[in-house]
Amino acid sequence: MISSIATIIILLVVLLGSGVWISLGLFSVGIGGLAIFRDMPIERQLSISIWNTVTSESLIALPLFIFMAEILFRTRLSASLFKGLAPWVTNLPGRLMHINVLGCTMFAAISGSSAATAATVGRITLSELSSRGYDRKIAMGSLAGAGTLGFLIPPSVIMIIYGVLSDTSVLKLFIAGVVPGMLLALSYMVYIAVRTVISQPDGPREDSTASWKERVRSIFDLGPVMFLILLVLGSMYCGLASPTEAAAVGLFGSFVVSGFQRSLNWESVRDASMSAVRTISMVGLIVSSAMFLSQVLAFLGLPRAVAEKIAALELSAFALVLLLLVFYMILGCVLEGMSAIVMTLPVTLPLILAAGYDKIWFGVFLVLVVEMAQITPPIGFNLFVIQTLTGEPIGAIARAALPFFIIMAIFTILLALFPEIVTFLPDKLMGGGMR
Amino acid sequence: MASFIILACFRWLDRFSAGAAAIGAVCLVAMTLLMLGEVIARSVFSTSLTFSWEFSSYFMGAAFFLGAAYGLRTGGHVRVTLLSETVSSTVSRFLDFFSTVVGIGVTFYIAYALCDMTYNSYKREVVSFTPNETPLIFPQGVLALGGILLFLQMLGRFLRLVCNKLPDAEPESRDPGNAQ
Repeated sequence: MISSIATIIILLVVLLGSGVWISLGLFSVGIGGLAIFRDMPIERQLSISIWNTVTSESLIALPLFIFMAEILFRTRLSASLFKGLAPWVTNLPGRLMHINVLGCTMFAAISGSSAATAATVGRITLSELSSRGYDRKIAMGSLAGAGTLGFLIPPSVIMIIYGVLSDTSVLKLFIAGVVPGMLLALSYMVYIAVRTVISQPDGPREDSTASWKERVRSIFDLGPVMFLILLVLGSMYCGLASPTEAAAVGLFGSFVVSGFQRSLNWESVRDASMSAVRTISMVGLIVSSAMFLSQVLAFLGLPRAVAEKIAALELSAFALVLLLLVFYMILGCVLEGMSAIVMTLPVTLPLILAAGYDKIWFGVFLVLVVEMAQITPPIGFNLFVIQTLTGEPIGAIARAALPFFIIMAIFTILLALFPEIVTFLPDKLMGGGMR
Repeated sequence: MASFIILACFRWLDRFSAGAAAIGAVCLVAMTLLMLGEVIARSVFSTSLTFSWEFSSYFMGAAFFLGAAYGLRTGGHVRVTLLSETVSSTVSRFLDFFSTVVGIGVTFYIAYALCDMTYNSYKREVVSFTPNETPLIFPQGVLALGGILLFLQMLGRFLRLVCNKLPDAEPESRDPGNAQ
């Protein structure tokens, strides 16, 4: 057993480390593992596994939400978000700086991905904030941090993938993400308020407190986003639509908003769909390779062997969670978050279930872990996004995002101590017990 | 003369990859319409379309695989670049060669496995387990096609590396949002 564990790990490190595309690397390790340790028709196993994954009905929401994000990225939604949110935050310490967090929170409720959230919201906010004299570091950091809410606040691409890989209800995961997402956003805002009071006590110039007239007018600017949130989350939570159907409805709504804002034309639809195909093909291949690899690992009996080894250490449940948190933080530095999760899930999920946590809770935990990976250098998609937006070096952006990384880490530990923060809402709405 | 032929092959390969991805984009739109149709059928006519989920899933598989070669060509598939960015250019070139060779091997095997599955479905006239009894050779054949194209593009990548050409092209439309 030791030899097969060692072989798999060495193969993974060598292939991924030398730069083999992650999906192809996972496929290679799976094929190699079967070829070395089992005598069976590999091509049958491989093709059936790929076929079942890429035509899995619970995955359909994934391409739809990615397509939706691409459409919205090409609308003027981010400008109207900024204009609509500005009058509401001028009274808070930190003022317009909160728009990053609030904008990301709202946009996260219609977008399933975190890089898309950061890119769409940051397009307007970063330049607006720096032209008004706000601290650039906090602006970049809060965008990097808050952008990750795209994964935690439903809809969420990561939750769909986790749902498929772990056979968990995606809707339940979506409900479970709401409260932690809101709390995390709140923690960011508290931090921003405190930090701005310390670093810029006088605040930037020129902003004045908004009048109620401006606030009433701002509601029209927030209209399109509210409309989309209502379509996506409303249709799901009222039981009218499954997550997949909600994605289709949301996509339809995005076309409507895009039409109203006059950004709907042949070119934007073509660019959006081509860009979406490129992304979903990448994600689809990674998910199917991870699915295949996890089947191979199960054939080799690897997850059970690792679980027995860890069980022999007799860790407490909390210590196990801390161990996994550190493990994923390290992995998240070298790997992109989604890949880190899909390739480790077959081993870590049984461990955590044996420790007494439930699947829904672990899903939210993993989402937070992916979010942290999004803002840790050298591989972190949100850092790349902000680099494209600002042209600053990755290191500077990562340093700016560090406080938000720490907030996330503390928050994750808090969730491990009080799992009810995650589970009470889905249990209340959909009945207890795990699935 | 030889280089002229190779260049022409590259051009055609890129055209096919982009064309396949465009068909993938159409599949994406088709999925959306099917799911919308299902929502309308369920909420307005309280009936369910028997084919919407099944066909959507075929379209999804098609989009995954038809976009794969284009994704490879435009650097859309993620890889770990940590090592190759820190070592000297000779070593990083070697690493790129190595990954591409591994890529050729594994994409060939995937393409072979998918073709084998398609052929079996054709020989045994396999249909789906649904009331529609869709012959699986069609959706599976599309996957196989995408797999072959991915393999060819990987082969092209190797040739580009040999000829000292840039292995990855920029996508036509670039935006920060497409980093998923």
